[in-house]
Amino acid sequence: MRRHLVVAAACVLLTTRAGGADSVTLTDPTTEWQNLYGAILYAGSATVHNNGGAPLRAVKVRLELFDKDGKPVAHADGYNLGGERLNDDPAALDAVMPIPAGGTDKVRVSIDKTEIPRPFRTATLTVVEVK
Amino acid sequence: MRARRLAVATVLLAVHAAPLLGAEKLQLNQASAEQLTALGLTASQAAQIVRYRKENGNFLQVEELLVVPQMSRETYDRLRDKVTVDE
Repeated sequence: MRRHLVVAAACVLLTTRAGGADSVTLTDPTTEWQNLYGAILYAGSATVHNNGGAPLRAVKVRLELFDKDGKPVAHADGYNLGGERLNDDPAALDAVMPIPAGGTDKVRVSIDKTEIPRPFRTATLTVVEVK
Repeated sequence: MRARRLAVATVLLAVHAAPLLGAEKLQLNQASAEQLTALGLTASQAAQIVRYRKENGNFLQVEELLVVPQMSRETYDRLRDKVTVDE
């Protein structure tokens, strides 16, 4: 496997804007181009922190790319590692492993290069939904 | 004839030397293997970049160079300030 990574944390902005997301923060963000057996991806990853007092079933995070003028170029959504099953089966909420109060989990979201229509300059990772 | 040769030489010099002189960055999505070699890449590395571009489409960021076969981090660090991608 040929895989080259570039850490571009400087261009990753973290925000939380979803309802109920105030108790969730993202840290250690990285974005990188990846070549996975010939499939070219742009991926973002971070650590999800549950700062609230109750377990969370899942946290949905959006990787969004912006051009030099700040206009959106492409985006993709994904769940934290414990909730990744929801990507394929949104109804499987009871089957996922919750993030305990005060706990953390990893999240990784990627966009295939073929789904990025034009050059971009910056990327953001944003919490868009908390379950 | 001599003037024509001089003109050709001038054009070639401008094309190959401008990026090196800092006058202007080389457009990664239009660059030929020869132009990339002039930036210090080996012929094999330059050929890989051109091949990658043909197979995967235009570069969307300069950082995308890092997933080109044979592109080391060191080579990328030397190259990144000499090339650009149309935005």
